[in-house]
Amino acid sequence: MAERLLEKESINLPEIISVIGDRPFEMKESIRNYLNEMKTRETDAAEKKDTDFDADAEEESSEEQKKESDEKS
Amino acid sequence: MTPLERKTVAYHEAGHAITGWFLEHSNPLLKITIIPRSKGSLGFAQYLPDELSLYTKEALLDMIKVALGGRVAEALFFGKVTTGASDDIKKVTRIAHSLVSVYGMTEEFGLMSYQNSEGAKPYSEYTAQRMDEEVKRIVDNCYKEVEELLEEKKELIEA
Repeated sequence: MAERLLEKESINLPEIISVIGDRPFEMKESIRNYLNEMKTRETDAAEKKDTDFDADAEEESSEEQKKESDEKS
Repeated sequence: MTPLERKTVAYHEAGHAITGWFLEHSNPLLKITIIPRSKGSLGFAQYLPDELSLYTKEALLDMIKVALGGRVAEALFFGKVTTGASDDIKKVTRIAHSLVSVYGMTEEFGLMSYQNSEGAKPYSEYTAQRMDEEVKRIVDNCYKEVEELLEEKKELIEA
C-alpha cells in the first residue's frame, strides 16, 4: 500500500481492495452501497466514453465534480 | 518535503490503514492520501463515520490501535520514529483516559467519573497516579498488539 501511495498519492476504496484484498469481516450495508455506487459510476463513465466521445465532455467533468463534493459532505 | 519524508508519510498512513483493515470494530476506510491537507498535517485517511455515536469498549480500543498504527509502521520499516505521530498520540491518550475516567470501562476504576470539575480534581494524588499507570497500560497493550499485527502484515503495508 505504501508503494502504491508513493506512486499515486491518493487511493480510493476499490483500489485499496485491489492492493490488499478484501477485509476479513462482513461489510456494513453503507459500505456495500458505497462500493456499488463507485462501480456503477465507473461503468457509466466507460459507457459514456464509448458512445459520445468528447461531446459533452465539459458537462461530464462538472457532473463528476459535483458527485465528488457530495461524497465529502 | 524530501523523498525520505514522503516515504515516511506513505508508510505511516499505510500503517494506520492496514491496522484498521484487520480490526473488526474500526470504522471502514474509504480513501487514503499522502497529499497534505493543511500546513503541518501529513497525509490522512477518510473513514465512513458511524451513524450512531455510541461506541463499545472494543471500538474505542480499536480506535487507539488504528491511531498507533502509523507510529508502529515507522518503527517497523525505518527503525526510527518521527514527530509525525504527535496528533495520533494526543488522540490515543485522550481515548485511553476516557475509557478509565469517563466511560467506566475498566475494572480497576469501575463505574465512576473522574472528570475534573471547577479546576480541582475530585480524587487523590494516589488515584491520579494509578490512573496514569492504567492509561499507560492500556496504550502499551494496544501498541504490542499492533506491533504483532503489522509484523504479520508487513508485505501488505509495503505493497
